[in-house]
Amino acid sequence: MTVRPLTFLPCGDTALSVQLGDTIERQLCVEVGQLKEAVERARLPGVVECVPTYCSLLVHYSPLQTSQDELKAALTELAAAGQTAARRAVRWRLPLCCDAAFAWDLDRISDEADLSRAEVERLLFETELFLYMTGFMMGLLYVGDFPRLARLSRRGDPRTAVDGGAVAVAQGLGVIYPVAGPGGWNVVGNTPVPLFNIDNTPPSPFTPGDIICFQQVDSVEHRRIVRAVESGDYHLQREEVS
Amino acid sequence: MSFLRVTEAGLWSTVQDLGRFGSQALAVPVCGARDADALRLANVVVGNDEGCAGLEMVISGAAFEVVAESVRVAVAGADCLLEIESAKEKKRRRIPPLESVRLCRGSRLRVVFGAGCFCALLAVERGFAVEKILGSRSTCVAGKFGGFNGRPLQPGDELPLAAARVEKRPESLLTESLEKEVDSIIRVVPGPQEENFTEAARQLFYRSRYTISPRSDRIGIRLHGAALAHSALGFNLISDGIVTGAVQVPGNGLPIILFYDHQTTGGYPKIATVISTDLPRLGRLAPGETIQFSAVTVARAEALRRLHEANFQRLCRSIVPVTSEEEALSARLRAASLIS
Repeated sequence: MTVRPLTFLPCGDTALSVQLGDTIERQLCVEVGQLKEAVERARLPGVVECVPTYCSLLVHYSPLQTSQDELKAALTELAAAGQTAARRAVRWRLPLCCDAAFAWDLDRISDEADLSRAEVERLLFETELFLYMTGFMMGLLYVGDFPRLARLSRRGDPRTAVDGGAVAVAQGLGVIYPVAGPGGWNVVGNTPVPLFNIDNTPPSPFTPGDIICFQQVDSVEHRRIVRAVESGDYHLQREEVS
Repeated sequence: MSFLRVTEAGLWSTVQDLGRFGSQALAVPVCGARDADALRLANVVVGNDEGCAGLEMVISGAAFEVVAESVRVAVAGADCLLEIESAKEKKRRRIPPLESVRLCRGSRLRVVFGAGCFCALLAVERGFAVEKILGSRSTCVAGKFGGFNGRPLQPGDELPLAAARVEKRPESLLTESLEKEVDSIIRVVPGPQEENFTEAARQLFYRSRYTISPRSDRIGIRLHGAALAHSALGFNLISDGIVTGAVQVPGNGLPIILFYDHQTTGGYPKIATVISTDLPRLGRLAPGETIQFSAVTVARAEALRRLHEANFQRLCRSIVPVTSEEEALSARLRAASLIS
């Protein structure tokens, strides 16, 4: 496989952005994750931590222990050494309830996307979603893709409060809000499972590159899971992807 | 248990160390002291490791009653001081910044903000007994964890101390002070997304004077001044990682310097990034004060940071032990006459 050329963008004297491309594509995102693992394995002196996003890796460093010139050389070498075996992804099955109480924008987006409500639901439950990244708020997951919702824009008036567990879509992608907070995406349902818990190590079990599948539950089942989560009797359903 | 009882909380007082690194990939913000130099110096003066968690106060200071056998404290910041009322002597004393003082049970202390003070840091010997979460004791307000109960202090809080008592020994004093400059020059490295701005906007960014907005907080220092026009590339990026000090410019063209509680990723272009050496100076500035940006290369920024650390180490070596108020005063006079 060809080695992707890296573009380096300086972010002051404590971070270096490594761009692997400028599109949202699964393969690109997998390679960002591979570069992150390679950097961590190489234990480059002065590297503080790496933050992966769709198509770039932000390498935080200490200018007292290394320099951007040294890092660029080391990163180029790591990338040229080729991709190591991809980490085994995990497939997560998350319950999702699209009952009217949770699917605030479902009717409107089915109008906008010219799909029936059942068709939108089918997209949600039949797509094997790829976890691109975590960002914006602690444990918030960006997933994709929904090509048939590619032209669906975010809400013109972002909500000041969406519920924790809200699942929302826009521009062909999806987000899962871990806790209540502001949000501008179109809310289509709610998952009752906890996505981020500061008392756990690590606080979030998800890694970019994982697969997320939603399983339809009704509001009765949703309520039952909420109670199970509260009493500590709920465990996320996971399986290794072969 | 030994603690400081909060009698006045100040406007926004949070426990902070030098930040929570290693969890940004899970979108956990870094947090940490907005004036890291002040925290590090205050810690060194009370005999701590420089990264020990202290109390950051902004706009107004907090006041406490000592509920411990003894405690040693020092404050750091531009134009602030400690007012102490000893339980035994029933007299008030004013302790300048970067001078340690040992207080016994029942004593009271207050961090007093002068007109030129926006931010002050209080260090206590051996630190506060708050839990280390993901490697840091910093308060993460967004996540409601870290520091003291994941929030700013409130009156009546009992801020736990790691040490029930501290030994009697000469106090420490640093005669240098943390200055605040009027019309501060804040140095930046251009980029990472300079090309998302027109050539005219880039020139305007460095020529203009920006005023810190009262809507600023620990997430972002918002600026008033010349609006910057985006180039044809626009202002919607594919989200990428953010470092503290990144100067992000959203659709309205007004720059926001992302500060310690910033989100770890974002989708607005960043015209420049404040160099790490200048972040503490920036953290000392209050709304209404002005700054001007000046560009330096990455290599220069890295060299400046190494110089900054060398100066910091030199400063730490200049700590003077003093055994009385008179000695402290004469040490200050000596230092002043050396400078003048």
